[in-house]
Amino acid sequence: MKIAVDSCSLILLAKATVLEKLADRYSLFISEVVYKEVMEGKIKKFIDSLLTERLVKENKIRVNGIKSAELTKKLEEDFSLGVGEAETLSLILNKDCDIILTDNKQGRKTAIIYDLDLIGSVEVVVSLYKLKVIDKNKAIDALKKLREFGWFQDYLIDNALEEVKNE
Amino acid sequence: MSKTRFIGARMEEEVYKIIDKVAKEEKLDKTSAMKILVQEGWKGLRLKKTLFKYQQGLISVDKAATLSGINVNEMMKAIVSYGIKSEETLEEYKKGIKILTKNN
Repeated sequence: MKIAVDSCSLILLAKATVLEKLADRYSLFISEVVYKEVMEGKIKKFIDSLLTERLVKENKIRVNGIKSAELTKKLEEDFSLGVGEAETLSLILNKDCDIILTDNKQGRKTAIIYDLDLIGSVEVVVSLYKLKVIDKNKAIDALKKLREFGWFQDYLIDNALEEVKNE
Repeated sequence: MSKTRFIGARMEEEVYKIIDKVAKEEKLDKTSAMKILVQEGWKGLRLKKTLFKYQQGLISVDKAATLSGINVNEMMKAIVSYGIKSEETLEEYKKGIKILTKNN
């Protein structure tokens, strides 16, 4: 399964310390601009920048060029997206990836309009637990971090915690 | 040195006091204090405007970051501190889990 990841989800999952586990399980792809956006935090030694840099160097996350600049431009204009988010959507619309991982409000809206296979960071944590890639404690810890660093509604995190605790 | 232009402006006593306070605290002359206040005020105003646009679903996080002159990570923190929440539904969440766990 090839997953196109945007900068927000990359940052959130790195902070939740499950990004590498996700990369071990699935093929992760990011666009050149997304990589650049995340690496802007390197100067401040952000964990997400340092981890992403290592995972890219180890080829666990692949940085893809964009086939159609025209499509990216259209997405930027039609949905008021930044270049990184538009490029991430281009990766799946151009069939380079099967799924889009984004927690970005506007990116999710666009993915729904195009009827794309869409996932978010909360589902990633719960799925990694269901697939036995991470254990219960790790999943609970990651969900708590997503609550702390993210912008998720409490009902979403509460539901995910409940699902992990009761499985 | 960049080109400067003259501006004469009348201001209320309370605004003048702010300039005076910043000048004293930062050990600057009043002109330099005013420049700092204008620049910092502009940054704050720009951020507030883009946060509002993001909240209304008019722009994406990375676009908001670009318009605010900050990086995506900093923009995400601003969104969280502004109390803006994701609109992801339980239905979308369940669909996401199904996508990730199928064929596994």
